[in-house]
Amino acid sequence: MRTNNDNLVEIVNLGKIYKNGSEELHILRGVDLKIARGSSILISGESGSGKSTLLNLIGGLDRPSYGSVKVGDFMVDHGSEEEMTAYRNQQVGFIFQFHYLMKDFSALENTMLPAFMGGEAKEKALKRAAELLERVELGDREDFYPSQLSGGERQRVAVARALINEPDIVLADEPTGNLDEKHSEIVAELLFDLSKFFETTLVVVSHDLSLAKRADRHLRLNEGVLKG
Amino acid sequence: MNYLSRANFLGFRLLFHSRASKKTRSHIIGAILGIGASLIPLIVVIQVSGGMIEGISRRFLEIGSYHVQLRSFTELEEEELNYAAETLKNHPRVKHVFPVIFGEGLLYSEAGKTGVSIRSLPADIYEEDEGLRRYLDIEEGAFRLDEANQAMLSRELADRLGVSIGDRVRLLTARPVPGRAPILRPSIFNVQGIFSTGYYELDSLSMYIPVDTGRVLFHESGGVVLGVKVERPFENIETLAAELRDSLPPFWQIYSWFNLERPMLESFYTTRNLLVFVMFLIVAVAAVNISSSMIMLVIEKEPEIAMLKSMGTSPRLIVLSFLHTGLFIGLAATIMGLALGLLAAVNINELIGALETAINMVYALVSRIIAPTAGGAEELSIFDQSYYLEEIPIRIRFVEIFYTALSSLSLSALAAYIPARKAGRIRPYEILRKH
Repeated sequence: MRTNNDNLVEIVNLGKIYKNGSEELHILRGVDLKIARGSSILISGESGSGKSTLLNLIGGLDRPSYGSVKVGDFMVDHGSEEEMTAYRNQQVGFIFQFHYLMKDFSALENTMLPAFMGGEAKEKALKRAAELLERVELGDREDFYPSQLSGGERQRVAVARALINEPDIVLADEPTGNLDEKHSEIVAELLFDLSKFFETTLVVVSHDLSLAKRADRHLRLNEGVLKG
Repeated sequence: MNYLSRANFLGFRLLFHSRASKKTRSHIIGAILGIGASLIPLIVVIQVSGGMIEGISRRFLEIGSYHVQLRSFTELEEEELNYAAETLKNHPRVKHVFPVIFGEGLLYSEAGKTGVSIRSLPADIYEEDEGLRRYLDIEEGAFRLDEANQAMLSRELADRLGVSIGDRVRLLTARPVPGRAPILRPSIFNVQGIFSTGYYELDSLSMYIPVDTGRVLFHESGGVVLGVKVERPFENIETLAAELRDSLPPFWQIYSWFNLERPMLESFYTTRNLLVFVMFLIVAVAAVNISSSMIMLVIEKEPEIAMLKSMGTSPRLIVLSFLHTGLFIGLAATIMGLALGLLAAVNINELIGALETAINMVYALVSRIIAPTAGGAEELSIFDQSYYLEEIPIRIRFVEIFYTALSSLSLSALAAYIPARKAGRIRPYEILRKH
């Protein structure tokens, strides 16, 4: 039974300003957000509304201009480079719109990379990666390189890779944005089902409002301001 | 260990499985070829100069200065000389002790005359001294100094005087007389053998005569020298010389080959070090290619690096991975450079011969075209044998190869450091936004 105190993510007055010469671009304006552990949330909004920036701030890829982000016990906005590296490896799984698979690595190696880079023995990481590829129904594509996979297959590899370290939170940036309707359905189903299976908190930012029916919550981001 | 294996895995993949653009790939291949090619002359210079220095040094040791020389500046009785020789022979490292008398003179033949540097040697030295035998090539006749008027001449000397085996030569020597002009003394010698050491400086004015004849001719002029040959002359020779000195009466002065030949050796090694330094600079310049090709690789791999960072790969591991990539490039270049360099070094005599033949053919052809009526073109020689060995002795020194390989790999790692650091500093969100 989840309680209000069982929030994995606590964002307080989060803001991000980019400077373009003398001009200041306020991408996020005082965002407050709590995300319950194990829940799924869809954040939609137009291009440039700050969705990806919010995801990057939660994932520790960028630093806020003001405000704070706390994931579990870790203050993301205050972490050292070393702590951020460990946080991204152990607590976060990323899925991006353009797949971003490593083109020099096979599907199996791409999937095992976060575990291997986190210090797990290669053989063990490969074994777990193979299991995950089976789960995303790509067991027969283990040795294929990204260029040999379809867009949907690549995104399924990205889902498997995001989950290999069983992170607390998966951050998906337009995970179906580059796929046709049929493959979008397959990837979305896998993403939400596997997140539930691994009891992972899922944050999806997307234009695709059809994902709303799968998410526990749906928020909108408009010009850097979050609305329920 | 696991950390290194991860860096190795990434570095290897980034290079060898790289779907990098043709341009980047050709830059990487260019860097490998550049370093490899620059290593070839370095290896050749190190091995050839080492071989030449060793070849010249050994000749000087065995024929010129000997391993150790004992000089007495007082007149000695025969017994004192024998006592010294017997005492020295008791040392376990001493192989052979023999008297030598040095002198100068003017040598005449019907064809001409020239100054000569004379060594008076015992008749059995050629049989007894394996070192002398190895480096003294008897080109004509035999090593024979059994009779008072027998002489051995160097090839250079024989050619200059136009004499061959059985011919007679006249030697004019000077006997110093205190307070008066020296008394000149003519002697006649029969040429028994013509020799060559392969090194001009040792050959050019050399004449050997029997030691007893030398005693008569040069008794008053310089005293007797005892030449000593020892086991392992390159090993602790100074200590050995000190031990030998301690075993003899104090009027003996003792000099090791190192004392006697130090200026020559130092001059050789200074020249060699300068050459190696210049060649090493060329390798260092070639290593810059690694830097530029890896910068291109890093720029191309930015999305992958950003991805690796987003999945929690530490900047340190990324730096290390690219250092590994640089090392792999350096390793490929080093293997190529060493293999080709060694191949060139071990065949240097044939290569020089082939090059001289080719140059002379072109030169002769050009001479015939430019001046068809002139006589045959003079033969060109890359190495003037007046100053170098007739044949370069090659002995591969694995320690030097090891240090060359180590230097090349270190330079590669150093050249890879800047792009590797650049890779480690990539901010993932900036790259992901850009792509």
